[in-house]
Amino acid sequence: MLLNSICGTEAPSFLGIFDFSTAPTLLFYSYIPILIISIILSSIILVKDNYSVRSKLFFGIAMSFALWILNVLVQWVSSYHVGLMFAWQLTVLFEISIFIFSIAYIRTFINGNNVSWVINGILLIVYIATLIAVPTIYNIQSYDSVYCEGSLGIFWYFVYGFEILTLLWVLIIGIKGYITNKQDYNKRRQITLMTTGLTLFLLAFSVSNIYGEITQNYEVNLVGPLGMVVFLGLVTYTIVRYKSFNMRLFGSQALVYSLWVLVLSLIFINKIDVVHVIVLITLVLLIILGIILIRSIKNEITQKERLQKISLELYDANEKLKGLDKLKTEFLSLASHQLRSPLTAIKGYTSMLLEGSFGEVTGVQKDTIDKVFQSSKHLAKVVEDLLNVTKIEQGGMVYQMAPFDMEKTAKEIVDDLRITAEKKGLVMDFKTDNQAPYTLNGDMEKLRQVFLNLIDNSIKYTKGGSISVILGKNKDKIRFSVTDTGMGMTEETKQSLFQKFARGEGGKVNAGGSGLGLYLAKEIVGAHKGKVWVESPGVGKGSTFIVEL
Amino acid sequence: MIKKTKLFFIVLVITTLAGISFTFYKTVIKGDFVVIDSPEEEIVDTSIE
Repeated sequence: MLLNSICGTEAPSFLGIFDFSTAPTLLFYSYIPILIISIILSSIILVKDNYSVRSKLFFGIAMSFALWILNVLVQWVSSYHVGLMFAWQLTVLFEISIFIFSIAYIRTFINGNNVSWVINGILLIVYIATLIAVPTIYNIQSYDSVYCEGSLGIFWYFVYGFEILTLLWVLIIGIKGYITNKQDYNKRRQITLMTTGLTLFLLAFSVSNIYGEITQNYEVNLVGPLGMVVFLGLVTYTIVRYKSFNMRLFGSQALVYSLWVLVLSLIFINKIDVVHVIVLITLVLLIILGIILIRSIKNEITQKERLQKISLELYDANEKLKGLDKLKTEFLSLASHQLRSPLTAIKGYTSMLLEGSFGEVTGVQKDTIDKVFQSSKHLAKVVEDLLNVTKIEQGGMVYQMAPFDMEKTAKEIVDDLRITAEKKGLVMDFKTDNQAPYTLNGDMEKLRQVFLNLIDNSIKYTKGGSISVILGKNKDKIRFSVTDTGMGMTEETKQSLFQKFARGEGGKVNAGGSGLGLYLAKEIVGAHKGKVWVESPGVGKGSTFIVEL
Repeated sequence: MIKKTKLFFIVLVITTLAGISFTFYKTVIKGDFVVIDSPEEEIVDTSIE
């Protein structure tokens, strides 16, 4: 009987089921722009905030709200009783969803993704209860075929109660978040804006609905969605001001889209007073958008100019540094070359003196000449290191690659330095892992210098105990390691030890080192596509230098 | 593999659509709801028994 009957006397003019003549004119111009803006705004946030949980929840609020609006529009324009009743029945589902998403959103916005499963469970129970209630008489108990409206059932007492509770809940979460974020001023401001916006939206929404129901004046409901405008405005402001959704142009985009919708809607309006309202809203949005855009452009220009200036300054500074570095390298190269020749002469003549080539030298004289000889030897080593560093930096280091027996070379070095070690009372031994041959393709002289340096360092910085030199294989690589019971080092020292002029803990004890030996070792080993590193359990606990080639 | 939360939401959406479809069937297709012809307050039950 009722299935095919229509509400009122007018035949449906749109799609055979809707009649727009019964709806108030302002309905479309207050509901539709808000509906479109909500969907666009929440979609932009969702995409640009990389589908984060809070943007999904904001999208949930906007979509529930959009469905609620569409449902109300259907209630105003539907011609058939069954369609009207269906729309009346669905209202509760969309209304509850708005409030559920609002709680979840504000909690995530303030507390992050730390969700309480108890609260989520409660919200789920509320939703499922609502879903079950939708087709029952507890939701819409009857339908008035004369006034074409539903009569709310007892479930709505629960719905309105839940709405008021939610409102208070949002406020409490907001206030709690404000109090707990004492140190973070920006976060506090964001919480204030979000909580205010959401509270105003929910307040306007539920109060207008409850008041409209009590007075049976459903035109009051038209005011409700305006709260959404406030909420959307504050969300946009928060995003632009604090970039809380990781976006910059977002606010401008939203406002531009709003303007498009508002201007487009003017085309369809015949009543001049409605046009005035729309123009006024457009003007207000245009002013806000204009200010935001101008400020944003000014900021961009200032920042760009500052960056360009800094970039130029950095370029100049870098060029100067490059020039200075080149000068330093050239100076070192020149100075080292100039020093090498006289040093060779000093070393040669003192050696000849010691050997008695210029006649017999007495005990005290011999000691003194020996000191001169040792010092000149040390100085020659420093000069040699400096020359090698300059060669590396100028790209002039030449490597004579050829296969050689590492075991033989290592054994020779150990034998050479064993006397020095024993003089200090140190025990030095040499072992292999018996996986011979240890043939390597490389510059034997330079690698020999590296191994010699490492063992020499161990002797220098070990007061007592032993030094163990081990040659072995690690897969297809040859591993050379020197383990001592010396002074060890800290983690910080390990990080900087292979840098130029770096001095470890031993630098305080032995001031004679140039600080270039390990840097050179790293560069030479690197040129052989190998690596060198140090391991040490800590200061005073010894260390192990490892070369893998 | 679908995450548990994603699966939960898919189930929730399907349940919601099922609920709405059932309401649509009951109200729009069958016309199973209580109708009042005001102002006489005469109650007519259109449900199919």
